[in-house]
Amino acid sequence: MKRTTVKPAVVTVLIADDDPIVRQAVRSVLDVSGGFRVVGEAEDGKMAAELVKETDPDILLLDLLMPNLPGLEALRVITTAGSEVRTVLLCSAISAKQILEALQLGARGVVLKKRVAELVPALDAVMRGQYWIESQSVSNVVQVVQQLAVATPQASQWQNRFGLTARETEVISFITQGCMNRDIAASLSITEETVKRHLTNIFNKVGMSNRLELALFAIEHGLVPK
Amino acid sequence: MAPQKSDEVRSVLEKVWLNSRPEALGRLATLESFSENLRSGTPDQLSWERALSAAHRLAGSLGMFGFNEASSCAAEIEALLLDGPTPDVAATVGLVERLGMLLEETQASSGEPERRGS
Repeated sequence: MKRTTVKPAVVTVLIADDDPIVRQAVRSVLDVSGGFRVVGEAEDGKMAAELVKETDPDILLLDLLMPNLPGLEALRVITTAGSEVRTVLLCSAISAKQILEALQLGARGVVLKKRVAELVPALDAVMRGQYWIESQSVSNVVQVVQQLAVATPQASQWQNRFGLTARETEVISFITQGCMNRDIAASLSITEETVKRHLTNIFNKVGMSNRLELALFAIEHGLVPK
Repeated sequence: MAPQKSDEVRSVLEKVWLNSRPEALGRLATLESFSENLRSGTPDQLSWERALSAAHRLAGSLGMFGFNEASSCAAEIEALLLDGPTPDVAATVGLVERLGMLLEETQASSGEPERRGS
């Protein structure tokens, strides 16, 4: 029976990522680590959902951005179909909103590709019945979901109302904290030029003309706590 | 992860990178071709779609091999391209050139990821 906390001798894994280099790297890491057997590879979300049904793996490693069916939509299909596969998102970047949505859809963990060395500890934790979020094993997922829910609803409203991207919302959050462009660039690992470009787009979208106006507007409309 | 396992993982990723580097350079060439089209004022839908896919894949895979700065650069290019087939010319061209330099560095230092651009 699936969803037991007893780890089987060999954990079966399905890898779903549109990039063959990523699939090869993940397969190699699992092979060398021992105790895992890759039972299939999917290059898009639709194929992932089909292969979960066909191969019934213990673990699904699922990328977010894939052709045909994006990762979270594929997860929705898989969950709706009643599969008991434990899904771990393996992605380049993910927002708090996406983590929240993934957990609500039944995902058990998130591993960033740049932290692929954490993959095996993450899968071990998930196979023990725990969750793996932000580089650590988590037992109380309810608390994590509550924290993420508090952090994201206002941002979602803003994004919908003004057409702001997740990254633009992040930049606004830094602006309300009084951060300079170089600080924002360092925090987001982007260049100052890119920060300026984001700000120009934000000003155009929300109809503000400077940082102070933007910060006050953001606080007034509840994007960040007053 | 135990230190020995950690070393084995690093070693196997180095091998995968060495095998994958030509493919990564092919993706860079796709971006450079789009960048050139953009500079000459003749970007087209197909080359934009290919460039977007190349940037997305580079952003994901380079991070796995420890090339975090190159991965971030590719992610910035991807973000620019998501705006549409005619992104900011100077920004796109500059970032593609920078990515080329960062990938060039991986040749000299391949086999030892995680020591730069973190």
